[in-house]
Amino acid sequence: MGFEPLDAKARQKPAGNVGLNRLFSNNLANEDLLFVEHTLDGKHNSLEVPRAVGLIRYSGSYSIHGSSSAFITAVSTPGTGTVELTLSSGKFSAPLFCRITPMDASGDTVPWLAQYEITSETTISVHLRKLATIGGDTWNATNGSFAIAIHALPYSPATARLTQPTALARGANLAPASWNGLVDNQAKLRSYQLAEHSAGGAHNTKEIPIGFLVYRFSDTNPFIDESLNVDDAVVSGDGVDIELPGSTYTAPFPVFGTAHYDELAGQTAATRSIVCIPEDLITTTNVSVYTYAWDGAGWGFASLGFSVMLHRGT
Amino acid sequence: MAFTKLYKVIQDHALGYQSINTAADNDLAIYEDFNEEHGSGLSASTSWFQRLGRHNAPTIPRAVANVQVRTSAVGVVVPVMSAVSQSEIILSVRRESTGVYFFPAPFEWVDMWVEVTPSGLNSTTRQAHGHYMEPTEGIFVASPQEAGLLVYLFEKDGSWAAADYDFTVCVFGYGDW
Repeated sequence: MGFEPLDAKARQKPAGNVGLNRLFSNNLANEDLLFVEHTLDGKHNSLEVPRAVGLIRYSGSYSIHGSSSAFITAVSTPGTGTVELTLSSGKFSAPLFCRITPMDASGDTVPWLAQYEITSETTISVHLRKLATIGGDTWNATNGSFAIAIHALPYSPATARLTQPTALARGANLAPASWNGLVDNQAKLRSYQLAEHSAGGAHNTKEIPIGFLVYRFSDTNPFIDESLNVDDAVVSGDGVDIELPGSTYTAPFPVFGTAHYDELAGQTAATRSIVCIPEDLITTTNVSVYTYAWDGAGWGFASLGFSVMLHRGT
Repeated sequence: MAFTKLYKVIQDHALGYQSINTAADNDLAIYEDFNEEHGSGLSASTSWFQRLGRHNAPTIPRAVANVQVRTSAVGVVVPVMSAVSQSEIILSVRRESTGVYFFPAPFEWVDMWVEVTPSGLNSTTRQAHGHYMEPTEGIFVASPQEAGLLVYLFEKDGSWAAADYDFTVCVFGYGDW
């Protein structure tokens, strides 16, 4: 049943059973709307929304930012360049899979690579490689920072639903219980909605970005194609500085990036590109992005477009 | 439109028109706020992202999939999607050649980008990326008009070479999906 707005009632104009029933059915329509891709209490519950998003930060030792301890409970380093994340039991159902962007804290000098290994529903390993020198092709296992999004199968859909008031027949009086049920259900639906959304409807949870930038190079001229909660982006040295509205973000925060492969000159099946976002250069007003490409003999800085997703900080 | 908490009533309480109007406004507030970044359409003819309750925002992936690459007993390499979102964006995957995987697009994708993340043991060094292939690019000789998502997988074993392994692919899109 779809949502149909109800005309405003004037003084001494009776709502009637049709009007009151419309209120009941609109509540039901809102309930139907809210429970798609969300749990009964309003949390997100779909494969494409990560169950957890974190900035795993390395500065001599590892720390977890950006994701609740209810999801990622511990981080350890069984060997240099390997990070083992312990996940909370019962929160993740296989098959798990990840998205990772290197966010090394050693600055803008060389690119990093990251790949993951799922050991169980409670253990993920991330393996990091750092290029030895720009222009070269020697990669070393090295400890570093990274952003990780962990996707998992959705929870079982909620079966229990709200009890909506019984529709009124013509001439029937509205019982207090029916009105009170309507009021209760409205309050519940609003609280579910606000669990991970703002009052205006925007998503409001650490697992969903609050900003993004699509930055393109056309005939070597860079431009912002599309953005949200980003003020500007300017080429700075070998990278691109993204200027942010300071009031929106709390540093540090996870950033996911990917280079636009189709903007590499002379691309072939053997062309490769990497994007890195040093977390030590992130502030509430700036994110620096570095893009690299394979030139046939080694890896060097490359001017090419990229997209980044900016998440809420801790 | 703001949401206003309503009062409950008791027996013989007169329910005024203002309370009725507030209840109607509250329903509308919930509905409109949810429509900001979710679909509300009831018809199957509307796009997936404009259907009832579906997420419809550039900040949320339009589709994700995890692909596991397996080799059969007779040596045939077969990609299998162990998980894929119900988006009608990623529907199938096929292996074109070593390290090259193709997801046919059911319609033309615009204003989008792709993230690819390789999986792998600590003993390997891997790099992967994705690319939307326009219908006019004609990369595949057998079906030059095909459009879709191309994923390239590489592994460094002395030198870099195309390789087959498991990976995650994620599609983001802005604009009118």
